[in-house]
Amino acid sequence: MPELTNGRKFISKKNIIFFAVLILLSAAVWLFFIFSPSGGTADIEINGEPYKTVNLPALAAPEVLRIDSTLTGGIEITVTADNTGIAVTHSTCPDKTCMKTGKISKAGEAVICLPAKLSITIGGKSRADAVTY
Amino acid sequence: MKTASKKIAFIGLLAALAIAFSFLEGLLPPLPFLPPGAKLGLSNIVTMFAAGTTGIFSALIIAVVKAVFAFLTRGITAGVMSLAGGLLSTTVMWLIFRKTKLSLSVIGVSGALSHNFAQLIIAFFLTRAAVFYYAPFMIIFGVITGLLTGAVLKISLPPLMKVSRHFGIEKAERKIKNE
Repeated sequence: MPELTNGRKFISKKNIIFFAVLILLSAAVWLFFIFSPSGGTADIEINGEPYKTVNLPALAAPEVLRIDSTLTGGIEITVTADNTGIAVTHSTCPDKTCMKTGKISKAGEAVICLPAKLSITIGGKSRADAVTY
Repeated sequence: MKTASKKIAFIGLLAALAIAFSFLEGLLPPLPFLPPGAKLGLSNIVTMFAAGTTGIFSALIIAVVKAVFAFLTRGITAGVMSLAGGLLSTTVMWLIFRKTKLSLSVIGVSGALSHNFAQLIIAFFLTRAAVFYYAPFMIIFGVITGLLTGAVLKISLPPLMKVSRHFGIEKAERKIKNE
């Protein structure tokens, strides 16, 4: 078994080219996401089931949503939406990844809280392109 | 000690090292330029080393131990994510070790990408959301962390081999002497 690691180089010229191409391609797709148009609605789903859809541009004042914790396995989540985007502003889940994601506003963007099986995605026509590239 | 028990002791040490890395990584503050939930994957260095030296079976055991640690400290979701990522990336790294002569950086990057890919699939099944939006971030970040993993393993391989010699990984000794 140990012979599998012996004599192996760290990197080769071909590897560097391969990694560079991989990063450039991903960066291109990423830029495509960044410049895709802002979406209109935010779809909140729990466990894959639609929970609520918020029409963001129509909001005059920030709207605070407290998610029904019986659906999220007891995790209390507060979502704040206004006409510039939507964010998870409070959550009792252990890792708080959803809060760290911050505010989202562009079509195809998503905030996900895995422990609560909650996801918020921004709808819009560019989303189909985003998932089939 | 018999060779078999020495090997088990060595695998136990590696598993402990993997857990220590996971724990240390959890202490690091989240870096602002990184996508949410992203980790350096330091403990992948251990599974990568195990996949290349002690074999697929022990490397998978280490991945499972890591997942149990994630489950105990961070909950069921983290446990499942860790298990899926760990098992897939360990298998992928072992296959590349076994079947090809590709460099350590390629193995590290493949490990990181397959780890993230497995977690993305699990996230998709848990939420059915458009998680593939994260794929480009994940690939860029996976290449960087994978290179880091490969580099650290390249540097730490000679001393690790010296240690493994004491645990009856006999072939390691001969190979190193021949070089």
